[in-house]
Amino acid sequence: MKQQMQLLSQANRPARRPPRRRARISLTPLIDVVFILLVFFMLASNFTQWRQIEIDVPQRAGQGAGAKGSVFLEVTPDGLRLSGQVISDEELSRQLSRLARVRPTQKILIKPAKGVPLQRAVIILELVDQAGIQNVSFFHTGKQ
Amino acid sequence: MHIRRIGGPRKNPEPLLPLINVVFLLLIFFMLAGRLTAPDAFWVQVPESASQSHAQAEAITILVGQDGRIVLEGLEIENNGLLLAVRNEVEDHPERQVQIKADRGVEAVKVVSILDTLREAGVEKLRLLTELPNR
Repeated sequence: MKQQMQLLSQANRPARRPPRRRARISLTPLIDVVFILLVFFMLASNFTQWRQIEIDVPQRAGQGAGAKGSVFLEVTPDGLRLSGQVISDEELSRQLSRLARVRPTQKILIKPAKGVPLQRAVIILELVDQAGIQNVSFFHTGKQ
Repeated sequence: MHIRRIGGPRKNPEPLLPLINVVFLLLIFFMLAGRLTAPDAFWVQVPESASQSHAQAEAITILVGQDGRIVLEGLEIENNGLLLAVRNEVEDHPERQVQIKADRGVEAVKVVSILDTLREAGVEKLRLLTELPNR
């Protein structure tokens, strides 16, 4: 009985402050969250530097007016043909720079043959562009 | 001579603190330097070129896979449906440019026929996405 009274009186007393201790927040959950965020941003973000080449829409066979007076450049799987004549890449850039000096507005139509990958066509497009020719586009031979 | 630290030898309160610092820095780097973009429908390896002009982010993108599959703005499109789809897209957003993201291995004829379809749809200028060659 006496013990019970003692307990009660203890309970009625205002609660004693816990001894002052520096409360330390655990960093583990924070690290977890930051790690997850880090992994998310590493996987989702994109560092590719895209470049672009501007191209005009192609001329089409049958629209004679557009193709008139332009120089045809055929790209075949085994070589190049400028106005029907077989030509090497180096010779092409030489001839085109000469052409660009004489006639800067000369139009070049690039006509890739079947079996030519896009990379090859882009290389040729760049060659023509570097030779100083502004007016260049692809040529499309109707429906295949 | 013995130099005594003020306060005596102190235990490192949290041995992970340097790690957290580094992780925080990495997090900030990836948040700022990377761009969050929606992933493409399939992996495309664009052609290499020495072009220096940067591509714009907000353009109508046509994805052409190595097997000839075409995806316009995230939707796969049959070859004969492209004309209508592009026309709708260009009419809805006339201010947006059109760009083609084609695999370097796809046939050039295929890309040219897509260009032709785009011309029919009323597109005048378009851009072919490339990347700088890896050195």
